[in-house]
Amino acid sequence: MKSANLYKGSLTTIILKLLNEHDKMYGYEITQRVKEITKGELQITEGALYPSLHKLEAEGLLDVEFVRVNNRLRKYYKLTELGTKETVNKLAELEDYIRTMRALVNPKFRFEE
Amino acid sequence: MNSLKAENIEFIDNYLKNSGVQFVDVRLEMIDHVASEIEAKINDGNKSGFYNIFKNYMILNKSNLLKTNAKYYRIVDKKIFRHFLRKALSLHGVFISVIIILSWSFLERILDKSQMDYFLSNAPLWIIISFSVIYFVIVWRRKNRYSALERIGFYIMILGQIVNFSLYKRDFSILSDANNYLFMKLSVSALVFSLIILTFSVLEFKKSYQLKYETIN
Repeated sequence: MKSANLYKGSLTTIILKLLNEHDKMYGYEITQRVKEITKGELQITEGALYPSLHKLEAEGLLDVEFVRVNNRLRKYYKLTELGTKETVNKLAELEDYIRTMRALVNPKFRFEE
Repeated sequence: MNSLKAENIEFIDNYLKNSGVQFVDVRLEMIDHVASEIEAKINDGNKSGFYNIFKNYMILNKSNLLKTNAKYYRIVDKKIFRHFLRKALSLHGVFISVIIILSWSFLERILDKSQMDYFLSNAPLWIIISFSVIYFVIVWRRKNRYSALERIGFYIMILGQIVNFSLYKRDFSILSDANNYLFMKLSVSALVFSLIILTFSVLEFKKSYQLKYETIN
């Protein structure tokens, strides 16, 4: 991964977006999906992922479900109704941010009126 | 598709427990993460065996994995605080406040001034001891340790220390002063209110943990 700091602020949005596309996901699955989509460019570490998931769960944006798999318990996360609404807001915020950054780094790019 | 044996999972569990990840609600997810990673390596053709793959994984990722444990306290504190506020502002909170107000009016009717002063000067210590006993009865002899339950125990201990500190060498003769009397009454009310809400929180968190972590076979 090139610059982890650039991705840090977007971790919550990435998690919400992935959960919005899947019915439910578990931690390891999220890390692997991100790695796959970004072709290894972005690798989410356990130390960053789980605290974010727990924070989103505590805020009521995620609901959890436990399933016994291969001799252990697996914790699945899924979006709550509030989480689905928050995903829309977070994605809009991220798109705004990307447009702003693009305008700053690429002078030819102009904001649409 | 290869999957780890029960003894391998137990090994990961014990390793994490010995590395300081004491709470089941934090450890459970780490076990699944490490086990999934090892299974993926085995399925990708790594033939070095469980213990070697585990050892190599931990050399590279242990500090990162344990960061989750360190960051968890802040999240649990927020979770308890939100729960406390929600409970305090709910009908339960209103009901507890009404009971406390009625109890004061009852005590003021049956106790004379000197008895009331004696009660106010001793009540905080007895209240904190009583609620600590209730807390230990609720969480005592639990096989599994859960973060929010133990964190609430820590808050009760802090409240105990505050009470201890505020009572230490306090001159209770000044209770005859109306302002001091009111201050003591409000402090005892706040203490009882907080402890009742925290006790309700312990019961609710305990029920939720049992439902999540102890009912799945």
